[in-house]
Amino acid sequence: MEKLLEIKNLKTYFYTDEGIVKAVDDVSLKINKGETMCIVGESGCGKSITAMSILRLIPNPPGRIEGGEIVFEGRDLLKLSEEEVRSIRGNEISMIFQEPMTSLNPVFTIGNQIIEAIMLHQNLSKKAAVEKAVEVLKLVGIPRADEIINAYPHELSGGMRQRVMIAMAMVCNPKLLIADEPTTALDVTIQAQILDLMRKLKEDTKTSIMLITHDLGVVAEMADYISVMYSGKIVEEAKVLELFKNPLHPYTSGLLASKPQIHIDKEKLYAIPGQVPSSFDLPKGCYFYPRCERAMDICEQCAPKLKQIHDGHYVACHLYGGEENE
Amino acid sequence: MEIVRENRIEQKKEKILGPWQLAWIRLKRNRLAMVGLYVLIFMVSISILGPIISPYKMETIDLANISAPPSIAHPLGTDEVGRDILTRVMYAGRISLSVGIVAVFISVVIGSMIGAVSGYYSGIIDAIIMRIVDIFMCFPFLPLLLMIAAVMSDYKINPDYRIYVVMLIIGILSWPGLARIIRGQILSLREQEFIQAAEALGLRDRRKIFRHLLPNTFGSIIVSSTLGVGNAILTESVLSFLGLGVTPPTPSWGNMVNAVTDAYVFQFHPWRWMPPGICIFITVMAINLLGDGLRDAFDSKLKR
Repeated sequence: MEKLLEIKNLKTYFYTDEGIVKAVDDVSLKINKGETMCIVGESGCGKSITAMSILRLIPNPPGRIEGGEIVFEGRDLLKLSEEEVRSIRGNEISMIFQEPMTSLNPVFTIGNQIIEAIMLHQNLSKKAAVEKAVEVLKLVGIPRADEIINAYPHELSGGMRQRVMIAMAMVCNPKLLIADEPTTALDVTIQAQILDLMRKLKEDTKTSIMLITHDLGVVAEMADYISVMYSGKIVEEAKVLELFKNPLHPYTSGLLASKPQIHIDKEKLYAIPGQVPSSFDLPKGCYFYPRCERAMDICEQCAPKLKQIHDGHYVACHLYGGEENE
Repeated sequence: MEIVRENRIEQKKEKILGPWQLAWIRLKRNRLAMVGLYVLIFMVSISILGPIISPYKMETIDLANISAPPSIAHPLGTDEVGRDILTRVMYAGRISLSVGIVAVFISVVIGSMIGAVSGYYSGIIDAIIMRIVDIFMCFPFLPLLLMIAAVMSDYKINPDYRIYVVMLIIGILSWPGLARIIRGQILSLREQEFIQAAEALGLRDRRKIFRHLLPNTFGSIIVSSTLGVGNAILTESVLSFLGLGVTPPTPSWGNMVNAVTDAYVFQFHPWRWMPPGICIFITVMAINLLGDGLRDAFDSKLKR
């Protein structure tokens, strides 16, 4: 399959008073055309920062992209001028945020905001833009789109607002849609509707989706391909079925084990012992070593590298050999 | 199927209220503020229409009728050269109100733009701008005004132009307060997700600041500028009273009250200084009531 976006050795650091936080540390990823790629991980493991780095939305200061390449259709986004990046944002790559309640400007009607996105990137007259806005609102399943277009954000429910956000993101037919926990703030039924909608849009428009989530249920439903992140690094990468059937990294199996299952009657859910290491004080070897149930001596000494175990299944763990790398 | 269901539930058409309409509804519930609004509308329309209807001109001198007490021909009497007080009070209203409004307009334009830029960019730009604001706020307001006004008098500036200079001075000296308020609001607004979303859409900084951030601060701009108009009218009155603002023959409420400095007029000709004084009082009071009402109306946290 054809590659749409490839991230090579991305490093995004934050320079704070307490020290340097390596929010994204040497991450490589790729997203194929028409595919859904999921990034999974605990809060604060660098999922969102990876996504923001793609659009170069890292607040600077304190954050800075220190190295690596983000190749989108043959162009390195990190080398483009601010002007060129702006023409890509919202047009070729667009983004949906986690919190639909605050992602819309409260003082404008939603029509206004969608039309703004259209007029910015497409040469359409105001009238054509209005028509297009109504059309895209209908596409995302908003009833009475021609009335709702004049509504203010506070008049809509969370699910409706998230639909509006998706409409805004999809209106310019982006090639890549980055969805940063799009369903976290929604209740479960709405969540299912939004996921359905995204899947349908993906099939209709052949848009690639980069989905950031910590909900493994969402992943199983949506993803073609999964990357598991831990403390700013990718620890495992595989096709969705492969990863669920055969998790290799102890962190991944821990995550899967801590997922509630409806047919198993358990008193208490499994939890990975320990806590995410502080970003200022990372262990020397494998970052997961202090919490790992299968840790070995070598894990304390040196960090494992990501390597291919089976076809398309990568893992960064010493359990699967790899001393020869060091 | 679910679309059909949603459709049925939302079938009854509800009126869509914008933030402005909501504020207006809340303002209408506030009696005191509405009294202020009506009084203000009354004062403004009298000032605009009065001089047109009045049979006298503001500079018509009637030496046969000097310092006449109120009568049918002159409802508020005449001054020391026989000019009709009522006409002059109405005309002075035009001057005082327009000084207030224009001065505040100038300060709002400067203050909100500088505040927005400062809050949006933060860092070094913010630091520089805020130090400039600090410097402006350190100026003793009144002495500085007096100084500029005295310089103006020394250069014999045409009295017709003096009112524009007064507007300009008050406007240029009163923006820092607003700039602070706007900066503070923009600082918190720019961290909101909708600004991040706007950036992810590929908007330019200019558009983000002036189209997405500033409109979110309109509430405070309106409140602060309404109250500012009252202050500017007072400042203008003070200056004119001291003979340094608008100077006769152009009337302003301030320089008309100046007549009171004569002990004889103070004691025996109250019709010469009371009407403009009362006008200042009523107008500024009305503006402050309205301003307070607007503050409550725009504050969404004060829902009842």
